[in-house]
Amino acid sequence: MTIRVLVVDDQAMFRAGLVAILGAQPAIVIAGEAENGRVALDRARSLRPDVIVMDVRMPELDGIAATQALLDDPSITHRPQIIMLTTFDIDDYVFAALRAGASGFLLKDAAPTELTAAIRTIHEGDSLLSPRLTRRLIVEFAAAPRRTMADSTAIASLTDRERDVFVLVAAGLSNSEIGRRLFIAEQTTKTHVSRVLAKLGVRDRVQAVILAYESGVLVPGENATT
Amino acid sequence: MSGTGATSLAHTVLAMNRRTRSVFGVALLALAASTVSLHAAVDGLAIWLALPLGAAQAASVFLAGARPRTAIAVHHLALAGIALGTTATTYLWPVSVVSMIVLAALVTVLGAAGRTTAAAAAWASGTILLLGVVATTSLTGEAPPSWVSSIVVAGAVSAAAGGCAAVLRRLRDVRSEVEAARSDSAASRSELTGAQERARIAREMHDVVAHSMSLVHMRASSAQYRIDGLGDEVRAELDGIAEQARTALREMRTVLAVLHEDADADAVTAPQPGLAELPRLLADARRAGIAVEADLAPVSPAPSAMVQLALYRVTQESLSNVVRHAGDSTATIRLSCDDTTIVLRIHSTAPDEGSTAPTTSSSAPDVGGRGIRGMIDRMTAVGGSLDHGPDAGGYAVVATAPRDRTAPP
Repeated sequence: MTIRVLVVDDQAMFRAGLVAILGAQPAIVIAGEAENGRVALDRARSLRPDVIVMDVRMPELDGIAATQALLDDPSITHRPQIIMLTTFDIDDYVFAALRAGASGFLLKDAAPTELTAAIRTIHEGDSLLSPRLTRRLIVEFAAAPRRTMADSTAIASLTDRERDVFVLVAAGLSNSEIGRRLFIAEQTTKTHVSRVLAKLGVRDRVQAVILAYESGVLVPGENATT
Repeated sequence: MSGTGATSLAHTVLAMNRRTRSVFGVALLALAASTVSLHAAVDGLAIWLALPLGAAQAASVFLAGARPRTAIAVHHLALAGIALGTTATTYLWPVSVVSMIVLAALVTVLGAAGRTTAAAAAWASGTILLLGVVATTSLTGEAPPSWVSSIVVAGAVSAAAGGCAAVLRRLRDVRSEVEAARSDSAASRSELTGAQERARIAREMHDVVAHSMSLVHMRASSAQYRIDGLGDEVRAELDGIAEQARTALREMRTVLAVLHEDADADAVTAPQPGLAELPRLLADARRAGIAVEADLAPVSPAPSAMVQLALYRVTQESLSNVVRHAGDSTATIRLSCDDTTIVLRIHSTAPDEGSTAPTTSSSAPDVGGRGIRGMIDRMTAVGGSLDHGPDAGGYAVVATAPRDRTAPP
């Protein structure tokens, strides 16, 4: 199964390089390119990519604003996974990208193998991209815990097993790691995870982690599972 | 303090003392003359006693500020001597009025000099001395009862005077301490602002470099995917270059993390600005009420990202100064270049000035402030310069930058 990728970056040479690298990978097909956030929205609508690799820093509409717009836009029904390309790895604007709905981030100087692996991981959805880093980012920048009524109801609706799975997903474990921890098969884990995400109303694992910290289910420092 | 500072301080002290000293001298002589003459004439003190004792009494008041304990000792000894040597006693006072006044003066001067313990000691011991006079007189004869009440009144008055003097002195001291603290705090605040500005400039410059480096990395790591038929050796070499670039970027990130302290949020989601973004700056200035005339000659080949960023920031800073200080002005921006140099000139005038009128300080940027300092730093960092000053009825900022002769076309 090939993954259709849209490449977004304002620097032509950078874009050309990304397209060349990713296009050469057997599992990946380049759906298209865009030079800024606004064009990216257009292309996403018409091309319906599975994954969008997008730079944060762009004129017209930057990566974070574009991510927000993409996920809010009702006319884009085939919701793509977004990987944000950034210069720094720990920063409040990287967290802003995650909050806006990006599924993960990559440094702009990631090696070709890293790029490819990242796209596969995000597409499969079995684990967080750079789990330790992503969690550290969320711990540092997530809002102070306050549980809304909606969150409480949603969390209360989880079965015991689902709650266990939720906590482990929020701790950054991959599906296979969760399976090993709870002594269940990976396929079963996958099912639990999708049910948890659906019940909590979050679109992917990253959002689940953010929810866990912001609703106080996980407290920073307490978790030593990774 | 520098050497010249110390010498000038010494001179100030001497000069002050000379003036103050002469004033003191005159006052001392006046007081001494009064005490001596009054003791001799009114109190019946023998002249050979009145002269030294009266003089000592007067001197103690003037000594009180510098040497409180000596002053008190001298005063009390003189007072005791006067009391013993006086033949004529009055009904009201245990010792002569002038002596009571001098005692009160001593207490007050000590209070004013900030020597509160000494003032209290002088008051207490003086009062005890006077009561002693009452006691000794009582042994040899009748001591008028009004003496004790006089001592009480005099004691109260001198305590009040001394107390007020001490409080006023304390107030003055506290006020000068607050002043000193305030100017210290202002000095360190301006240092901090300067440092923050320099950190911001350094961060932006590193950012430009990091951006270039990530392009180098992308070119090197994607080459084998873009160009067919590259042999193994070439690929290995390119991978090595890419690896090197990644290391450089890792190191760059460490530096930038240190400088990133007060990053403003929108600076990192927009690309670093250059000459192409100048029109937008001018439009913003026009919206803020400045009439902007621009003459931006294209510079080809385009200067380096560093130079462009520096010129952009200089324009940004100059225009925001104009907006801040003189809302209705006219600003003229001119960008020109020859073979070796790029010149950017930003001239501003307030609307009611003709070319013959002198510059108004309102349109000049804060010359000592971080704005000008930052602009100068940015231009010198790219090998250029910044000049600023009154010009043709307004104020001009002129930035120059060298053209890169080795830049590719």
